[in-house]
Parts: sequence; C-alpha cells; structure tokens
Amino acid sequence: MEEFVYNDAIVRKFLGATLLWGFVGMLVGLIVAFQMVLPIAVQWLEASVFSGPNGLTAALRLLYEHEWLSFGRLRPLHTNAVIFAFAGNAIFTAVYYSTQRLCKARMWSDLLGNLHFWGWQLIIVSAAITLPLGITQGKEYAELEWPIDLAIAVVWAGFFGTNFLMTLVKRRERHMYVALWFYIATIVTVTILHIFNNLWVPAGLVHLFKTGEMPSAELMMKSYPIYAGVQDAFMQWWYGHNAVAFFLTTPFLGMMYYFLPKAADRPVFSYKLSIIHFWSLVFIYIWAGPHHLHYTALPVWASSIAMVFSIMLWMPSWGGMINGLLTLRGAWHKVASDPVLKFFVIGVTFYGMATFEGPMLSIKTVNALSHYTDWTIAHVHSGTLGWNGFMIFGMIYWLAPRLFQTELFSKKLVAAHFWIGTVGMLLYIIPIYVAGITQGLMWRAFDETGRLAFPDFVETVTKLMPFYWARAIGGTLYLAGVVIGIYTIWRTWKNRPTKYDEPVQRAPALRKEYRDDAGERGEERLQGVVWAGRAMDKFVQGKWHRRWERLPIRFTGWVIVAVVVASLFEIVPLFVIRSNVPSIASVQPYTPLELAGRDIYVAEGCYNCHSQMIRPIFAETERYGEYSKPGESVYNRPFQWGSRRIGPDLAREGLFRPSGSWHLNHFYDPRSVVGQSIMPAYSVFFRRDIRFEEIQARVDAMAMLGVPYGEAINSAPEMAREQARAVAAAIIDEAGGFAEIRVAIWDLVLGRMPTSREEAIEALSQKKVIAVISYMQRLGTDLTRDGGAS
Amino acid sequence: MTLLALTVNDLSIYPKVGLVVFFVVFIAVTVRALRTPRNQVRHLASLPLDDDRKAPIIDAHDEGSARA
Ligand code: HEC
Repeated sequence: MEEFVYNDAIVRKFLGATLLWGFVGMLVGLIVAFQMVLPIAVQWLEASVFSGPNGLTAALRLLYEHEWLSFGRLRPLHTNAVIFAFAGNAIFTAVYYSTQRLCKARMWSDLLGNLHFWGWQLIIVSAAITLPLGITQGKEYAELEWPIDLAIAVVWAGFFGTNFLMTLVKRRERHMYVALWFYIATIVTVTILHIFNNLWVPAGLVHLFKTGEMPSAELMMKSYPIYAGVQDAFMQWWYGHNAVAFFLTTPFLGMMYYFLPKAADRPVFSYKLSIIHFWSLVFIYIWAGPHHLHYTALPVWASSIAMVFSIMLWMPSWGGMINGLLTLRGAWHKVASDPVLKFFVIGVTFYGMATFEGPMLSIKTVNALSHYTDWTIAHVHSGTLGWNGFMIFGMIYWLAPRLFQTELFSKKLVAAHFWIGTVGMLLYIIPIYVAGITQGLMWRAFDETGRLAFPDFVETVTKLMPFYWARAIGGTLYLAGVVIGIYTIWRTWKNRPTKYDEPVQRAPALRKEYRDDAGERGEERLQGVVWAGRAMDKFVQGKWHRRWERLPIRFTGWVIVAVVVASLFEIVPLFVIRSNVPSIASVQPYTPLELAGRDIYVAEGCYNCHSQMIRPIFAETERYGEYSKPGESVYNRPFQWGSRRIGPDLAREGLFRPSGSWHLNHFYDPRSVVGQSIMPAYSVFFRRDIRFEEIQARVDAMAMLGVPYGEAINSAPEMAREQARAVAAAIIDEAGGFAEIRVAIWDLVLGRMPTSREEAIEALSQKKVIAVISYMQRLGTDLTRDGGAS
Repeated sequence: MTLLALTVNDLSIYPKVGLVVFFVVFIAVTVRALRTPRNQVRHLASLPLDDDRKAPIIDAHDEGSARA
C-alpha cells in the first residue's frame, strides 16, 4: 500500500480564477453587446431627450469610441477571455480534480502545477493588456501576438501537458477512465493546432537582425503569418473549428463523464457508447473546419468534405448527449431537488442543441443564408452559455463544498442563479436567431423590378436594433446569475475551516507486469501465419485497445496519429497543388503605404465587423460586385476574409467607394455620413502619425516570406511618403480645398486650421488615416487594373 | 508526400480515402467497444464513483456505491 494526499490547493486556485475571469470576460461581452445599440441610442438621446451632447452622452460615447474600448479591439478580448480564461481555468479545475481521483495519485509535480497556474494567469493578463492596445495577429481566437503564443506553448504543453501525462504514467489505477482520454485528446490536439496556426515571422526581429537597431514596442510585437490568403484562411479555420472541438467540447465531455455520474451517484449510462463517442469525435472533428469557408475562395472539394464530415458529427455528438442524459435514468427525482444536476441537465441539453445545429449550419444551402449573420452568434452562444457555462457552474457547485469542506452557502441562491441564467440565456439566444435570419433574408431580398430590396446596407443594420437590445438585456441577466454564483462561492469559501483536512489515501502501486489474460503469458512467437492469425484474433477480441488504455503514452500517440492523419489529408493537397490558387497577373503586392494601412486595419480589428470575401451568390455580387478570387488574396498576411458582417463587405471597396474625402469624413464620424451607422468613429487615425521609418521593416518581413517587393526593399519609407502626399492632396482637392474639410478634423490633425494647401497636405499626409484610406482605395481593384483578370 | 500529392490530379480522391479510413476505424472501434467484457465495463464505468473514499480501493466493481 502506498499513501498519498491529493493536491486540492491547486484545484481551489483554478476554481477561483475561473470565477474571476468568467466575470471579466462576460462583462467585456456585455460592453460589446451594448456597443451595438449605443451609437443610435446616444444619437436619439442627444436629438430627442437632451438638447445636444452633455456629460452623460459624452460618457456613453467613450464606451464605444474610446480607442481602447472600440469594438474591433474589445470583441477579441471578450472571446479570448471567455474561451481561454474562463473555460480554460474551468478545464484545469476539472482536470486537476478528477485526474488525481481517477489515477489514485497526486498530481505529479506541485511545482509544475503552480507554474501552470501562474503562467496561465500571466498570459491572460497580457492578453487583457495587448488586445485593447491593438496588438493582434488578426485571426479569430488566435489574436494573441507571437511572444504570448510562445508563452502559451510553454505553459500548455510544457507545464500542463507534462504534469498531466506524468500523473497518468505514475497512476495507481490501471484502467484509464474515459474522461482521461478526453483530456489527453484536448492536450495534444490543442498543442498541435496552436503551433501550426501560429507560425510567423516577427517584423521587429527581422528589423533587429537587418539593421542592428532596436525596433519600437509596436513593431517588436508585430508578426506576419507564414501562410497567405487561401492557405492562411484554411489553417485558421482548421484551427478555429477545432478550438471549438478540443477546447470547448472534448474537455467538457471529460467533465461530463466524470462529474455527472458523481453528482447523480450512478455510473454513466453506457461506457461502451462513450468509447465510440470518443473515437468518432476525435476522428471526425478535424475534418470539419473548412465548413466555415463555404462559397469562399477555398477550393470546393475542401469545403465539401468538411460538410460531409460535419453532418457525420451529429451522430457521435448525440450519442454523447444521450449518454449523458440517460445517466440520470432512475434519478430524475433528484434533478428537481439538486441544483447541480439542474445545471448539468441544461448543459447537456444545450450540447445536444448546439451539435444538432452545427451540422445543419454546415450544409451549404443553409450556410449561404446563415454565414456572416448573427445566426452564427446565436449558435455559438447556445453552445457557450448553455453547454460550457452551465457545465462549469454545475461542476463548481458540486466542487465547492468538497474543496472548501463546508456546506454550500445557500441553495436558494444557486437556484436563483439557475433560473436567472436560463432566462437570460433564452433572452439572448432567441432574439439573436431572429436577428440573424432577418439579416440574411434582407441581404438577399429583391424587389419586383429585380433589384436589391435593401441596397443600403445600413437599413439591414437598423432593423436589428430591437433584437440587439433584447440580447443586451439577456446578457445582463446571464451575468447577474454569474454574479450571484460568485457571491455564493465567496461566502462558502469564507466558511472554510481554518485548516483544510487532507485525508490520506491508500492504494497499491501498479505492478510493472500486467497481463489481462494468463493464457497469453509466456507464449512464444510462432511463425508468420500463426502470428497473423493471432493478431487477427486479438483484434477481434479487442485486446489491442485495452492495452493502449493502460499505456497512456501510446494512447496519446494514437490520438496524435488520428489528428495528424486527418489534418494532412486536408492540408497537403491545398499546399502542394498550385492549381488550388491560380495566380492572377495583375495582382501586385501592396505598396508600402497600403501595407501600413492594412496593418492598421488588422490592428483595429475591422475584420470583426467587415468581411472581405464576396461569395459567388447572386444577391452578393449584386450588392458588392465581382466575387472574390483565390488569386486575389495571395499577398494577404493575415487573410482578412472575416466571418461576420456587422458592416458591409469591403472586398471591392476601392471600386465601390473610391472617394478619399468620403472615407475621411466617415472615419472621423460615421454617423455624419451615414445617419444610422453603428461603426465606431476613429479619431485616433487623425491624431496619430504613420511611422514611416518602420514601414521598411514591414516590407522586409513580407519580402522574407517571398512577396516580390522590388525597389521597395530599399526605399519603402520614401515611397510611402510620396504616396501619402498624393492621397492627401487628392482628398483636399476632391473636397474643394482644405477649407472645405471640417475644422474639427484639422483640430485633430494640426491643432488649428492650416494656412496653405501645402501645409494642409504635409500635415494630413503624416496621419494614419491616409494609410487606411490608401488601403481602402486599393481593395478589390486588382482585377480591373491593366493586364486584368484571367 | 509531396510527390504523391502532386501526381494525384483528381482531388476527389482525398475525401474518398478519408471516408474509407474513417469508416474502417469507426467499425474497428465499434466492434471493439461492443466486445468489451461486461465485468470490465462495469469496473470502468464505476471508476469515478470510488475515488473519494479514504479506505483503500483494490477492486472497485465488487464494492458498493461510493461515499457521496
Ligand atoms: C462595430 C462594427 C464596425 C467596426 C469595428 C468597423 N466598422 Fe466599418 N462599418 C460598420 C457599419 C455598420 C457600416 C455601415 C454603415 C456605414 O457606412 O457607416 C460600416 C461601413 C464602413 C465603410 C463604408 C462602406 C461603404 O462604402 O459603404 C468602410 C469603408 C468601413 N466601414 C471601414 C471600416 C474600417 C477600416 C474599420 C476599422 C478601422 C471599420 N470599418 C470598423 C461597422 C463597423
């Protein structure tokens, strides 16, 4: 017999962090939800309630127009915080608690556990600082820049992965329960996804090596992905979808398979089903990613396989849901009285709903309607608020009395959390479904004359305001529930004993040699034929698999094989076959100034509201112009196709809206140009200067990645200055002279009115807005330039 | 790998092979899962239920249900 004590201190830490970041992440979510409604509300307040702006409206304005709070920067903070901080810490809570019990072993290393805990919190804090500052890779859920990426790899795989796997190796229970398999799949797959979607060239380092000069902090943090355009899009959604699969699904299934039986005090309904559930999920999920790219410039074959596999996913997902719910067979009376089970039942039910809807959304014809709309947002939130959120709180309420060794502070409060959370969730999801479908239908509506019924994009935005209000209220309720939960846990924690009881556990160590079946022992290897027959026999009896279970390392190996093989099947042809991305002669690299403008577009997170991918669908080509070709994105690092159209598609903006002075006014105050716009104003573009000298480093980094930059390799800043003056001059002339541009803009740019045309051009050409406008004017113009489309 | 992919012109081969690979694995897993001996399944399924006890646990499936 060996004696040991579980390390619950680390579990308590992760639990506390889960609550803290859950609150922060959802609060940021609430702010971005209000940013959808506030611009119009403030406009209305100023016009109808107050006579003009006042202190209150100025404060509200800050909430959506302050640089650090603008939607494009804050929305990634919301997604990253709820996924990696809230759900992440919850996963660690579940893993650290259940792995020790299932392995009958203390976590292998207290030190690694602590490094993991503090390292992860440090990563979260750096995300919370860098994202509002506009330091981002511009790829959804992979926004964090390269130094943080490195830290994630070290903390996730190095600290967490090692600690977990070594605990498995040193375990005292021979059999590995299915929850552990799900954790293994989570750890290895997230590692693979993270590494391969985050391969980059840091522009600052290129600069440092080339010139020996230390770059600015902004440049130091900037990187360009090694993939461009179609390939970048593909890698991103291979990552993005599997992040949903292996961060928000598999670890939560592990959680379900462990905590649900514990809370119900009966074993899982069918263990056999859980095995099938596991392997089918691991195999199928990997293929499903490209369903995020239907009708885009991604080759059809890739998105078609994704659709087939996505539909197949429905099977194992529902197998899992049924397995979860039937675990409660004969225990339904407990659900009525046990708040923990209530949370689990709603959680598992939402798992079923979300995984029914997911395959449906992957069907191309449905996707043609749903893609880019709020329908996706509704789908995601039924998964995250229902499945992830409720599983997490069910687990926390189950754990709290055990970890803090005292009664739960109040069951009534838990019930209140449950009901407020459920109502809030429905109030969030249902209106956003309606909003999404409304949006989709309006975009494709034609009138009797065969023209778009709503040619003005903004009409389709204002229509959604009531739904956005309902969503904001639903979100507020859900967060209120969470606050009640945090209060309950905090009060429970306050009642903890002065010293935690640490019961000593006893279990025999595993013997090194173990055979299932005595008949196998000592058998000699026979010649080929006999051996083959035996192998066949073993296979049929299923013994091969039980062996792997006992050997976590080999089991891990098989999960890697499953994931990598499926990934390679998709990735290899896309990367090696040139015909996937036919080149277009007239597509040239961005000029240095446009590149700088594009980098600002990425940094501001415009992709959170704008797509740059016109699908070959009639309603879309009518609205935006010629559909996007794969060859048009070859210099796009990162790709910016986007996934959502809160604003219109910008892929052909250069053709659609060539006027620089229009953009100037629009960036200064969108609502002064388009009355009901909800786009934030970008006054920073008028205050901040372009860092011309650093453009060279950006061009160099791109050139290193194979972009044919020609003379810009030596003279990027000069070229950019020259173009900036030309763009500024054109804007001023178009406006009819600098005096025709509003005073407020000159106040930002110069602090006063300029005195001459020359001064005006010089001053304006220094500002970021010029770089962004040059990029806007470039967008989508390649095909029609001389030497045009093929 | 590169050579192989370059010589395969018909890309639809990829989804086909993918599906076959998947189904083979799926059937293998299913067969294996269904053939797991009953007592072992019972032992495995009860693993989460026996962990919090202070008493030593030697063989879970012949003991009763767990302490809550
Ligand atoms: C909160 C979402 C949101 C963000 C963030 C956002 N936009 Fe917009 N954008 C909109 C909406 C809505 C419209 C449509 C109404 C209008 O024209 O103002 C729009 C319109 C535009 C237009 C005009 C399209 C046209 O020709 O009619 C441009 C150009 C544009 N946005 C560029 C940008 C850029 C560049 C950024 C990032 C710096 C950005 N937007 C960030 C929501 C957003």
